[in-house]
Amino acid sequence: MIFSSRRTYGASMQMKWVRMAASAALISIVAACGGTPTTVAGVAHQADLTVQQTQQVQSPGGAAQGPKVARATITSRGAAAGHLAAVANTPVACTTIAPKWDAVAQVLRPAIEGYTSLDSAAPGTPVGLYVSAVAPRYQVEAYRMGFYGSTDACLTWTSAWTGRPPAGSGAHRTRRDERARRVLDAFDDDPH
Amino acid sequence: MTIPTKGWAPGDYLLRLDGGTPATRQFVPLTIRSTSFAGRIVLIVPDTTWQAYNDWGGHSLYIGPDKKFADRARAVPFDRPYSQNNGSSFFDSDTLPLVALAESMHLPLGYATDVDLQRLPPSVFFGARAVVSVGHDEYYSPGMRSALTVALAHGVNLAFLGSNEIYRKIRFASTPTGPDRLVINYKNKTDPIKIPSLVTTQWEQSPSNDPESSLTGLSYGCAQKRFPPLTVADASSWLFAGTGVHNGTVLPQVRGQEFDGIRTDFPVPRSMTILFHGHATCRGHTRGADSSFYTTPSGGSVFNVGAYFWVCALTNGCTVKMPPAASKIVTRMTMNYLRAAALGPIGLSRPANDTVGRYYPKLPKVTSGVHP
Repeated sequence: MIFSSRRTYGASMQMKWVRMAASAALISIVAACGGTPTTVAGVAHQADLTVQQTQQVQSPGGAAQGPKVARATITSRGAAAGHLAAVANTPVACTTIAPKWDAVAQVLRPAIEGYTSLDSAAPGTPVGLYVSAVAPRYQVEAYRMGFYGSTDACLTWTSAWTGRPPAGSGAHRTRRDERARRVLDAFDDDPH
Repeated sequence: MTIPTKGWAPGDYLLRLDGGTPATRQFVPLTIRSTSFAGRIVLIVPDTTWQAYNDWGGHSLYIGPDKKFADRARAVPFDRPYSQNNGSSFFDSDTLPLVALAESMHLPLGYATDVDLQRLPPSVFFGARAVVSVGHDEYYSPGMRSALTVALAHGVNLAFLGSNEIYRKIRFASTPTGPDRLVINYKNKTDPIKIPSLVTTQWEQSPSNDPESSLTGLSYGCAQKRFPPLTVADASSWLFAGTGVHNGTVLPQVRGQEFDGIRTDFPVPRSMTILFHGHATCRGHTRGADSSFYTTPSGGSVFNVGAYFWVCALTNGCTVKMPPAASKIVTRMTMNYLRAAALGPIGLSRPANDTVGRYYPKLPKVTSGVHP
């Protein structure tokens, strides 16, 4: 989310990353903010069209799924190459060209990230959880943090995996898990 | 995904997002707040300050992608992950040590966040034994500050267990996710809002001209590379009971890089006991570096440690190491405070002995009320 001095209040840039070539699927669940896709000045340089599409949505204070600083650096380099491709056909000599640059850049991005729809809630209030993940599936565990003798954390709740549990995770899908998973999936588009 | 919080005990939670391997795990903080604060010591998670320093996406209220102050954000939303500490912001070092200590004492506790001070009716805090700002809690809206001011007038004990508290003024706005999700802060008069009381210059600056000291007791000094020590000023205070300190005992490192102190040109609530006293220099001016405890006629009290590393000192888990003795003294003082606060308005049972005049002889000798 970027609110700079040059931008109108309430305007935000929502970036939905679309993987084009990498093998891992990118799951990006972002807030449905509405608004009409439009070009936001000053962000075109962040889009490296050879590896990803960047969708900009101007919306009042909406959720941002965008690059971190390190990612911005990477894509800026890519953008430089994209600009130059239009004027120069001879690439710089290179012994080993990185065949999948997006996969290289991806290591700088946390493989999973999220935020909640509320910073605090009374017990029993459903809280929306927005997640962006490189992994094809994920699971959420809730730890209550405090004094538990030799440790600081109490595992309070565990979600079902959003897909087939990874091998060796010890999770065996039961009919009950399957039902829970379907319930969770149904909420993915609308956390409320 | 929706998190069903039914049946969860009130408290501060970390949600762990797990993509299947240790490399694909991150945290999301979530507070399950108490349904009632009556009779409880309410621990406030300083999450407006977390968002101020959160540079996820490249911008915080301090920097832009080029790391320059000029390109900082003027508004930051809660609709994004925290960039620091695997998504957990400063919870582990700046909040959890106090939560764990308080829980280990089996006191009646309540849980809430900065935003709760804004969004809940102020009356929900009137019956609390105490409201404790846990850690670095710098960013306050008028509604947040007012909630604490009114609670104090109702005999609630307040504590600020950090420094630089209530220095920045903010206002909230909605995002599509909900109300009070956007923290707005310009830090100077470029704020375009036309309502003077909502302009987000610092509280002590025009047009607010309302230094935080009228509530917290102390004013922000400045950042220091060499941390001013905490030097015991009044070892006879009940807050030092069992610590073994005497006047002049020095606690190194705990003050941290940001200190508070009395400014004689700003309001100083009385009666006030100066617990630690020293000096530091800000932009060529020598300033007092203090820790304070004052009581009011309502019985309400305000304990302000004025020390940036107070909470992490509880576990000696700060970014700097300190002598274990300093950590122990901080822990004992915190326990002394929490035990007293749990019993009711401290101002009724232990009104503060005013010692301000010893260090600031220019201030008038008054025994209660706020000067000027």
